Amino acid sequence: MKRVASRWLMAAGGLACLVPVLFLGLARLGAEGSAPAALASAPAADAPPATKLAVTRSVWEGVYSKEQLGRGQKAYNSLCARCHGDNLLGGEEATPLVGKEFLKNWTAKSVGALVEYTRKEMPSDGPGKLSRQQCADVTAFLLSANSFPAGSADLATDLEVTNQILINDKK
Amino acid sequence: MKPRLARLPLLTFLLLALAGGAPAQQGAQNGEWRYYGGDAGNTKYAPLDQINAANVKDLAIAWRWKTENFGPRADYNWEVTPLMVGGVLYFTAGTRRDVVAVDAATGETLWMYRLDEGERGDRAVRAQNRGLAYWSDGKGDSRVILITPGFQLVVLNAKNGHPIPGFGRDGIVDLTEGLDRDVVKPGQIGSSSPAIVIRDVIVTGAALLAGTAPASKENVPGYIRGFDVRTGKKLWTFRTVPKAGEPGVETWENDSWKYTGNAGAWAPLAGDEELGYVYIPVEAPTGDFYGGHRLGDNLFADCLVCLDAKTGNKVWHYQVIHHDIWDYEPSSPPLLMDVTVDGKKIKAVALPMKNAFTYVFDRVTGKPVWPIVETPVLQSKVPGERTSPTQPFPTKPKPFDRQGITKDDLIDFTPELRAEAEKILEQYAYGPLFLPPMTREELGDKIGQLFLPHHTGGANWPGASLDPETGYFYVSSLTNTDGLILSQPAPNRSDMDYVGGGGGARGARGAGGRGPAAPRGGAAPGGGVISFGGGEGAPVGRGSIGPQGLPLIKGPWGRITAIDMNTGDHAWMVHNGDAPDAVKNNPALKGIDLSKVGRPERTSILVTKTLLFTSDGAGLFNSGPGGGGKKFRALDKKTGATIFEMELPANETGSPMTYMMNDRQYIVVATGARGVPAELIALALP
Repeated sequence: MKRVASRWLMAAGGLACLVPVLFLGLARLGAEGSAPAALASAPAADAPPATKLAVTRSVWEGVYSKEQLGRGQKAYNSLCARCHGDNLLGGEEATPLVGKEFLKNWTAKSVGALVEYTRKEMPSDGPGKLSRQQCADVTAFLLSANSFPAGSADLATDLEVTNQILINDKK
Repeated sequence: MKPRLARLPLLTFLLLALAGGAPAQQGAQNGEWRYYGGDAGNTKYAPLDQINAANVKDLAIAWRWKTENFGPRADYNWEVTPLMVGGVLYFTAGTRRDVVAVDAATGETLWMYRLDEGERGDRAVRAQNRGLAYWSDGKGDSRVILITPGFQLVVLNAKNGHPIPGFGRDGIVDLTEGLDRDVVKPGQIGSSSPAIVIRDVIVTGAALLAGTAPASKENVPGYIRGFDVRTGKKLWTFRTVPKAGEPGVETWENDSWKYTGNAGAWAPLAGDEELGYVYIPVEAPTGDFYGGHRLGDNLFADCLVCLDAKTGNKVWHYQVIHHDIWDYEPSSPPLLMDVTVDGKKIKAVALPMKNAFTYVFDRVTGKPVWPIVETPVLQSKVPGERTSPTQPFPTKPKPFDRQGITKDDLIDFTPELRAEAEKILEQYAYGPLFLPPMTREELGDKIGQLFLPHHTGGANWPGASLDPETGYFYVSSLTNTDGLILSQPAPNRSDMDYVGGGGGARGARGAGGRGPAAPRGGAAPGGGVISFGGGEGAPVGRGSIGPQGLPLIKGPWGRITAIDMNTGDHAWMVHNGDAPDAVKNNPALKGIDLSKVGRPERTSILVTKTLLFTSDGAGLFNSGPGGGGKKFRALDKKTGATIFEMELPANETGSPMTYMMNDRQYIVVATGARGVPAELIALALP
């Protein structure tokens, strides 16, 4: 038990220092009184440090375009669907990409973290081969599937921009 | 020339005598490897002995063949086994499943065939490919047979890779036709295993998307079909989900036969040329964990089916799981073996399963070799579900892996770890084999249900291998557990009343509920802690829910069991290698002997006259977390003792095969790893 606690704290501290966006998320969750569950399964350990602390936009503000969503769906179908399912509900080895589980994993994190997770870890057998554009497109598709609205412009491939867009489940 | 000719009559006489008397020899013949499983019965045996216990230590790489530039994306998890005929290897390669012919002595590429299928290939349900089928009329017409990612049957001239013009349409038959559905969309059905040819009939199975959380209770059925190997003409269809008026339709209540799909056969098929029969391991119907939309036993899903290859008529069937809601479907190639039980010679077929049972039948009659007893099992309380009151339990052989969970199955390296494991266990519902899936409501404050074997554990596509000389049957299995919970999906995502999911298992950590955050590379969304606590470069995969990021269930996590099929008794069991690196590096295990815990992987077994060859395994899709490794090893067939081990350039991903070429014995194995594109490695003595 003791070991669990100390390892957890060390790791959590390390993560929080590395990823300011996450730190914001933790503060936010903490304020709402929930356990820092999102942090425990944080995928953002690989995300580079955000250059600015300020989150300027949220996923409710139309951060991707319909055209991009189409490209993202096509990429999803050929790259992701065989494990995550054509309905995004997950499979034998793959987590759901819609609904409660998706939101549990990604709420209070940045869109940039999701893009970078996809880019660095997926597809899990041979990661690191997708282009930034493909990852932004797939992210647009995932945002749409989780009922975040489309807007007029594409989700940028620039992490400086996407790191400042917050994923939150409530408007 | 003359002396040779003079010997011919004697040879002919001997051959005729053999053909008339003893049953056809098992194993790959004449130093070749003409079938995916060595022979049509999947023994994965070759009677070769150049590489033996004394010289195996000199085994070295003879040549390598790389897939990296085959297909639009690299393939990392290449489950292929090449065929070898007349000095040429034939196999599928890359994410487009190109067909390649390679010189068996040098690895030189002789020809390749590439079919761009557009969207239907791009959306393939299964990226894995296990290889090809081969056919020859013995008079110069020789063909290799491919099932494409987009589910087309392609027949090529083995000499040059050109499609056979007189077969189907320019060498191609569309397998999505004739499935009793108005529309079959790209990405609905495909195949990962090769066809098999028996009595000049190509028999095809099918694979569909994993059914953990299907988008619909409606799907395409994976019918079994027979095609004339010369013309491509469809000769027959065996409906794995029967239609009105056909036997078995009564096992699909409320007309559920009309819309239920899956029930393909994605594992490799088997056949007996002498009997003219094929043996089909039929998978589960739509919805791996909820059967409320398909009440009844669901014939011929979860059956071993024996068909007459010429007509497609069913000779016999045996349903090994009734109304499957565990995804415990047949997933290993049926293994044909000629054994002597209680003094009686039996042409048998054995089917090792995910649930760790081996079901053994007389392959002529379908009668169990040892009694299989219908045994009462726990019943589901899920609304709309109705479990079968009993399931078939083989009395022999004994299970080859753990079945059901009690406290005795928990990890016990130290008293502290054991205590922690007990606390974790109590967070879950658990019980015996065939514990039915549960909903959130039923689980109450439990975070999920554990089942063992897990549906990704036990035996899987590598199945078993056989030494026909001794009747020893070697099966590899994986011991793992994970959480499951049934939930009601959003209506726009699925029309199923319930779908399966991780049950929060991936978030549950440690005795305190939440455990350590994973270090770099060890975290995944929803994955919680993965890969035995993660670590640099650890693969993303299913989480280990036990204490300190270790497995909850004690090892060996990967094992090989030898069963004497003349008696049905286990001969020996060995761990598959030592612990994965992430376990070795776990500080909670400092100073503890980890040499016998085994790699939690699906490993393949090749048997020769002299040795048994196996490996750490791939550690990729569907494997235990971080389970694979680069070791390739030779074991003593009688005892399981490791005689020799070497490191391959990457992990073994496919079943190895062997052949003779220019008086030299080669062993060829497909390799790859996360981020390491697939390669064939040929091993031989210097």
